[in-house]
Amino acid sequence: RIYPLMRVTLTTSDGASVTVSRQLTKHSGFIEKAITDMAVDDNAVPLSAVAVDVDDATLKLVIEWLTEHRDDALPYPEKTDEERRADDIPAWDQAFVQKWDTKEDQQQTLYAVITAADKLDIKGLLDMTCKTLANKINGKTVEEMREILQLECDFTEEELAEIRKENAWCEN
Amino acid sequence: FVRLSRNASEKILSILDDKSLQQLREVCKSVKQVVDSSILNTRKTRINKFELFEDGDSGETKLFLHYVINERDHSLWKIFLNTALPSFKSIYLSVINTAFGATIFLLLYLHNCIQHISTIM
Repeated sequence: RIYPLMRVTLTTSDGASVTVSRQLTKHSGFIEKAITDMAVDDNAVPLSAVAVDVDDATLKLVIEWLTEHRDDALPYPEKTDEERRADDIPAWDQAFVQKWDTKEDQQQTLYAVITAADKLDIKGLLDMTCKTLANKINGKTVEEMREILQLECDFTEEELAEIRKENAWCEN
Repeated sequence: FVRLSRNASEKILSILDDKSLQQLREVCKSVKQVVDSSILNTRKTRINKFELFEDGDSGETKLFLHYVINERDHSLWKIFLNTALPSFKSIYLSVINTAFGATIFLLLYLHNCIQHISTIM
């Protein structure tokens, strides 16, 4: 049973503490499981103690998203690969992610939130951020993908030719 | 991207279209490894139709596999066995192709006639 008014103190990997309502943490499978498993009397869930690498800045973004989505239905509806689509990101979420795009380290922020959502088992946030990254990659050229992912090509010309041959084989 | 968990990367890759996945394989070695591993782990291949016949004129035996990947993509694989076989008593194929998107048959054993497919692993 979830007590919406119950407060939970979260301790981040960089030592900060944030206190939030159970109404928000109920969306995190990890925190809910930690509360149940650890039988925490004082409602404190020390994230760093269970080796979850979520820093203060990332956790603040996660809480901002959770606050907006506090009334979302649970459990989160799982979709099959066939049902999954990338063009159904709600307007608020799009604006939320758009905010990071003005930052120099937008890609790192997106990766950090994806990782935090995965570790904290927040399915809705993980789904939304993965779609956002997929939308950035989909339909792009190889060069554009390297730029988006900030990765360098480490293939030889022969290796690239072999991959292109495999790709062409798949298309034919 | 390559530092993301398998759960997250598979979610992202499941949304991408096939062309983008192919492009992604050319980005760098670590990304190719993530993509290939994800495809092998998540894509289910279902064979809908199987046909094997001998072309009397050319003496060529043709094997047709009509398969579905993820119930999204339909393709007809044509594999030509360029040896005229005296009969269809038995045919063994080990690995047909290990390239991207391929179905890997560890063993395909046809016994006596084409309707008897003893083992597809």
